[in-house]
Amino acid sequence: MMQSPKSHKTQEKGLLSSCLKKAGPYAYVVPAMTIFAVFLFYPFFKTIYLSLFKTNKMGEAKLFYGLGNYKDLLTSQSFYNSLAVTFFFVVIVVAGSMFIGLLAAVLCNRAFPGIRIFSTCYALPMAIASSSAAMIFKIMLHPSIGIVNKLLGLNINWISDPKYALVCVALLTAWLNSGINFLYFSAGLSNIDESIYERASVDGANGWQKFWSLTLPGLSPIMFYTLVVNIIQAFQAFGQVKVLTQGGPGESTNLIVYSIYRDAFFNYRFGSAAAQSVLLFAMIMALTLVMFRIEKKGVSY
Amino acid sequence: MASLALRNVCKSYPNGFHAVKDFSLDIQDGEFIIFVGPSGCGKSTTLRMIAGLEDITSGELWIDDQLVNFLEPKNRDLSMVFQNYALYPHMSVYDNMAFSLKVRRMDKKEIDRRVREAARILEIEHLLDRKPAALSGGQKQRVAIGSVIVREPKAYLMDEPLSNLDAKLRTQMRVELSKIHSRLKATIIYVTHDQVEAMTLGTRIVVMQSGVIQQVAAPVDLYQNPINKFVAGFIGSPAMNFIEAKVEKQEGEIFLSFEGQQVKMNANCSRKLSDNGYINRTVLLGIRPEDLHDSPDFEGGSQMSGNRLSFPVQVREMLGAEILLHGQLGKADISAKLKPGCRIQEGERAELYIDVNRIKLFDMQTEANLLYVRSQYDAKSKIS
Repeated sequence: MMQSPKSHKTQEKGLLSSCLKKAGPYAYVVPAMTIFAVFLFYPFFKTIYLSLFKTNKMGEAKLFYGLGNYKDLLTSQSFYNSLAVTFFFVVIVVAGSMFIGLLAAVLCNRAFPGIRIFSTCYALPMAIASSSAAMIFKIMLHPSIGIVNKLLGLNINWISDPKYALVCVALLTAWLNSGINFLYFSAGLSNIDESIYERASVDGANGWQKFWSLTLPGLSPIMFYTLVVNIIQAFQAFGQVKVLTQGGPGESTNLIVYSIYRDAFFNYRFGSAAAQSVLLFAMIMALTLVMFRIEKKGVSY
Repeated sequence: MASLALRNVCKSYPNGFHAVKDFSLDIQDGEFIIFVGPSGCGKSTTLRMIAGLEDITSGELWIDDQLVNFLEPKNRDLSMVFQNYALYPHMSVYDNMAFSLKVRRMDKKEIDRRVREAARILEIEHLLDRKPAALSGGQKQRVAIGSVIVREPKAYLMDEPLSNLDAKLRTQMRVELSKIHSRLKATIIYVTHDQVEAMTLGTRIVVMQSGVIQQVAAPVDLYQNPINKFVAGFIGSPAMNFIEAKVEKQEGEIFLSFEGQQVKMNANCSRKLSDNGYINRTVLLGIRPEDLHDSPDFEGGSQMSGNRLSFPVQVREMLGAEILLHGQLGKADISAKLKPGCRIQEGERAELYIDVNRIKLFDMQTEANLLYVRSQYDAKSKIS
C-alpha cells in the first residue's frame, strides 16, 4: 500500500504520543519502585549472589563456592538445631499471641465500666519496642531479685537454663505480638451481627456453643490473616533474643535470624549467613503458599 | 405449647425512659396474639422481655406455671423470628435450621427428618445447601421461619418478620403464616406495626401506645368497638374521620352540629349522650371512611337519609375496586371510601350519606369511646 509523506509524518507523531501515553502510568510507580529497589530488590538479589561465594571479612565476595554454602549448612548440626528451635519458637509464639489476643478481644467485646482502660492495656504491647520489653523481662525473670520467682516461690534461673530459656523468649514474644492481634480480633468481632447471638440464645445455645459456632467462624477471615502475619513475624524475631539470651544458653535459643546475625557479624561468614537467609525466605514463602491453599477450604467469608 | 401470663410488667432504662408500663396479659395455649402499635410503643421491647433478651424491670412473667423472670433465654424453651432474620451467615440453610436442635444434642436422624419436613412445608427443599448470602429476602424469611418450626417450643415469638418483604410477598407469607398456625396449633406472639397483618393473623390483638396497653380484643371487636380515639384511629385504613361537634337537643331529638351541618342521633347514641350529660357539650364524632356512602341504599340508610356529610373534594384516588375521596371540613381532614361507580370529581362538593348506626362518639378530654361496650376480655384482665 502506498503512503504519502504527510500521512507518514502524522503517523510518526502519533507513535510518539502513544509511546508517551503508554509510559505515563509507569512514571507514577517510579518513586515506590526506587525505594523497593534500593531497600528490597537489591539486598535480596545481593543475598542470593553472596550465598554462592566465600567472602572476606569486609563481606566482599571473593571465591565462587557454588552451592557449597548450602551443602555445608545442610550437613551442619548447628543449622538443624536452629531450625528445630525456630520451629518450636514459632509454634509457641503464634499459638500464644493468637490466644492472648483472642481472649482479650472476646473479654472486651461487651460494654462495662473501664472498658477503655482494659482495651488500652491489651493493645499496649504493640507500642513497646521488643528490646525494651526484653530488658523488663530480664529483670522480672532474674533468679534472685525477679518478681516471677518471688511470686511463684521458685528458684529457677529462667534465662540461663536451657529448659526454660526458649519458652521464656517465646512467651515474651507472644505477649508483644498479642497487642496487634487484639486490635484485629476486636475489629473482627465488632463486624459480627449482634442479632445472631440473640437468636442463638433463644435457640438454646450456651456461651461455649455460641463461641464455637458463631464467633470463631465469624472471625475466620481475620483469623487467617492474623495467622499468616503472626507466623512471618515470629520467624523474624530478633531483638528479644539479642537482649535476653544471645542465642544461649548453649544454642537453645539460637533462632535462624539470630544465627544469621551471628554468622555474619561475629564469625564474618557472610556467605553462610546469606545462604541461611535464602533458606529462611524459601521456608516462609512455602509456608505462606500452603496457607493460602488451605484458606480456600477453611475460611468462610 | 404453653400459656403465658404477664403481670404488671414494666421496663425502664437507666436514663429514666419507661418503655413499657404496667403490662398485664394472659395468653392462652394456641392463641395467635398480635402486639400492634406505632414505632416506639414498646411492643418489641415486650416481646424481647418475654424472650429473655431484655431484663424485666418489675412485674412477673409466667410460662405455664413457672416464674421465668430470671431464667436465661436458652432455658425458656421459646423460639423467635427476628426482623432482620438473624440467619447464621457461615452456615448453610440446612445447618441454620438444624442449629437449635443440634445444640440440644438431638439424634441426627431426627434432626434430618424435622429439617426436611419443615423445608417441605415452606417449599425451600432446593435451597438447603445454600448460604444465606445467596438467598433472596423472601427465601431468607422462609428459612428464619423454618428454623423456628423445626422445634416444638412453648411459644413462637415473631418480631415484625414480614416487614422487610415487598407487598406481594408479604401477602403471600401472611397466608402461609396463618396456615402454619392452624397446622401447628401453636402459641404465637407476633409483633407488627402493620394493621393489616394484625387484623388478618391475630386471634387477639393487643394495641399499644407509649408503652401502655390501650385495648386487647379480637380483630372484629377492635374494629367495631374501639375503646378510645387512639385505637379507633389506628385500626382501619384510611383512618377514621374525627369531627368536633356540639350536642344539641331540639324537640326531644338529639343532634350533633358542626360546620353548619347537623347529624341526627339514633336511639342508642341519644340515650348515651343524654344519660351522661353531654347535652350542649362538644364531643368528637368518629366516622369511618367506609361508613360514608354516595347513595342511601345501605342497611338503615333510607330511614336516616337526612344525615348527610358535605365537604369539598380536594383529591380523588381511584384504586380499582374502590374510590377514595379526600377533603377538608373546618379543621378536620375527611376521607371517604366509595364504590367505583361514584361520579364525584375533584373540586366538587361531596354530599354523602352517613351510616349513623356505625358512628363512634368520643369524649373531648379523655378520648374514651362513649359507645364502648365492655367485653369479656376486659373482665378477664380486671380479675387477673
